[in-house]
Amino acid sequence: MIVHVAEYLAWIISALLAAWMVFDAAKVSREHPEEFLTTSVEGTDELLTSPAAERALDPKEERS
Amino acid sequence: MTSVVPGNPSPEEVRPAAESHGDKSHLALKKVLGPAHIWGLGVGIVLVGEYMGWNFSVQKGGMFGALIAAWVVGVLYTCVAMIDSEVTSTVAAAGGQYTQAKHMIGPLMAFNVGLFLVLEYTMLEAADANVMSYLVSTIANHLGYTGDVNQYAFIILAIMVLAFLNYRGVLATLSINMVITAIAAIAIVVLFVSTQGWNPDAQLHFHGLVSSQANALPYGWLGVLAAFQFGMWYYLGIEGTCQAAEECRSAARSIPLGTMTGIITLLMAAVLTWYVCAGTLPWQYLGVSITPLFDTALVNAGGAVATLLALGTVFATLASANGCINDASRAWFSMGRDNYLPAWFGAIHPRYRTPFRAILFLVPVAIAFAILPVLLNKPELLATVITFSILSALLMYSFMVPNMFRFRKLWPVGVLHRGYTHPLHPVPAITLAVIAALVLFATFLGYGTTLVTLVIFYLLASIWFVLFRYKYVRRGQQFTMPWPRPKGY
Amino acid sequence: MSVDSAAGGTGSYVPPKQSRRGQVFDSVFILALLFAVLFGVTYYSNSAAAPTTSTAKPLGQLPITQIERQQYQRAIDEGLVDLKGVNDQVIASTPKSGSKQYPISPVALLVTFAVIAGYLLFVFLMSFREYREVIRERFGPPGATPSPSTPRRGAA
Repeated sequence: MIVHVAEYLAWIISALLAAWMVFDAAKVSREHPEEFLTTSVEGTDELLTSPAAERALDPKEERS
Repeated sequence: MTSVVPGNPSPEEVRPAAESHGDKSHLALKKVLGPAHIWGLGVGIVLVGEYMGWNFSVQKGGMFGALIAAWVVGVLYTCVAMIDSEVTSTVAAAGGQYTQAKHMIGPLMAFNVGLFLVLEYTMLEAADANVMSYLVSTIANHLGYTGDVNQYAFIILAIMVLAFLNYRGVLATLSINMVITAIAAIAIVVLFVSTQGWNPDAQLHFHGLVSSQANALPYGWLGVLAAFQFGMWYYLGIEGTCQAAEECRSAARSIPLGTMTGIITLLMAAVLTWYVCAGTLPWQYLGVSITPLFDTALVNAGGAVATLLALGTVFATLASANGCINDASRAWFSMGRDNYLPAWFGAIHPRYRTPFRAILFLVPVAIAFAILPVLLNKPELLATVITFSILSALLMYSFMVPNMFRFRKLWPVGVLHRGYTHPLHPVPAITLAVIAALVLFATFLGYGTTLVTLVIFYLLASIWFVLFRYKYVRRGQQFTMPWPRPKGY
Repeated sequence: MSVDSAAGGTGSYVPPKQSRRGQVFDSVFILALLFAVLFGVTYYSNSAAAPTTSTAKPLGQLPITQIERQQYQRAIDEGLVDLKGVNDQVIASTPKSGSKQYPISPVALLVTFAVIAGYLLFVFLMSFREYREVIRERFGPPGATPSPSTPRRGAA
């Protein structure tokens, strides 16, 4: 019955995706130090800052 | 800007972006989104409300009740969009309203707003997944299958696939989201055209409405007020555009443009939806229908149009769940980054540049919300989950009012470069306050107990935060915007 | 971090580092609280079952308009609903007389209002207190000259 096949497929795909994500997350956490993974800084958009603030901002600040 | 499809990253993307910056290395979310993605994110979360959900306002207040709700709640959301456009185009950070609260009101409010966001979206996602499994069994039945379809399998599959997509990168996720949202939106216009909506006597019939008041406003004006609660479905989630601010190429341009075109799309979709449905289905039926737009297409047009609307229903549901995963994880991530929640959640994937732990952590939570009503055979639980979602959003809108006033007071126009400055300043904020209070009253009429318990939950969570959690939060450093000292402090 | 030096002034607050166990506990705690409330309210508020009927009247005998009869007929033809379903819907949507449709209990309204007001009051007052602390640490004591890395105001 096609519906049963679909159900089994759904279970299998879900399990594979879940396993991959958990595995990948564990791998990333193992390979990189926690200090590096949590280094993100709340975003600044270049249009938003006032001129004074621009000057005050660290010039080496990453702008992408 | 290189566009990256998951699974096929270009060499420079594989390398963490930070490595090229010497020892000052930090990861950042990927800045790749444009206005069209923001439109897709905002409309995508919401449009499912046109395909299902809004029509419960017909049950509460009749056809005209639902239409008045569409207008009044439409005004509420126009105010929300205006306020969000101004504040978020200036506070360009993931976390959206949470980050706004941190900079304008204070830490405890930020914690609450963060929770509002996470609950609003995660619970909406659970409702979407539930609807999706219902659609699968409906389609199976249409194909001649008579047995029961295992609901768990498809609820979990939907959440998993979307979480996987979100995990692998924001650009592909929101590009797909934009396309399926556009198809779902166009489907509504096609339905309007196919029913010759411009000619009200051709296929649509409004005589039943206008001939007697008992038919159009069966429960009087109190019913109209009660309808506001479900009128929220027409637009609930448009404020989610703010969560993507940190991933826009230029938030100052994308957020206002995407949010404003989004609310315009939704206002049109809302009245078109009401119009074709009200002209086709009897209000007693419409008020309890699960897929009103599809039913309308089936009765009025059939064939290809009905198929398109079925497709639109599935797409709208997927887009909504997708956007919810995106937004809930950004809020959860931002709170982790500031230590409002465990710092572990504030991590970014070095390759995909997504908040991967927040995405992953919320998967079982969403599944629990979606599956427990089925597992325990308690459909009321799903209603509670949905009401929690709406109410969390409402509490957030009531926060946005003082937030707006303080934003203009602490940093008057001219002090900061705003990406967008909305007109008529106190009017939108005051209008928002009044209508949000009306909708809270409408919720009291329908779900009084749920309302009180939810507020008690947030109160308990707040007390916990003050007593046990705030000590882990850095004080001065959580104010991250490069702004001058707020006026009066 | 670019704002590290901004805290600059004296006595900036250094939070303790949370242990991994503490992190797990906090994540679980907030969810457990949520689910407890969710189940509490669901099991406490028992919803009334929708009224149903055992005998289904034909469309012609139901108290609905002629147009609605036609529309219902088409919905039945398309298999969206059966005659019994139509009867249930019409009965369920018949307005109850007077204030029974949306009864308002003044006590419940008052309690709801008090709870919401109390909650908002607590959150706002506490937030403003914490906010003052944040601003003081970020920009230094009020009236003081801003530290070099602190953006000056009125720049635009």
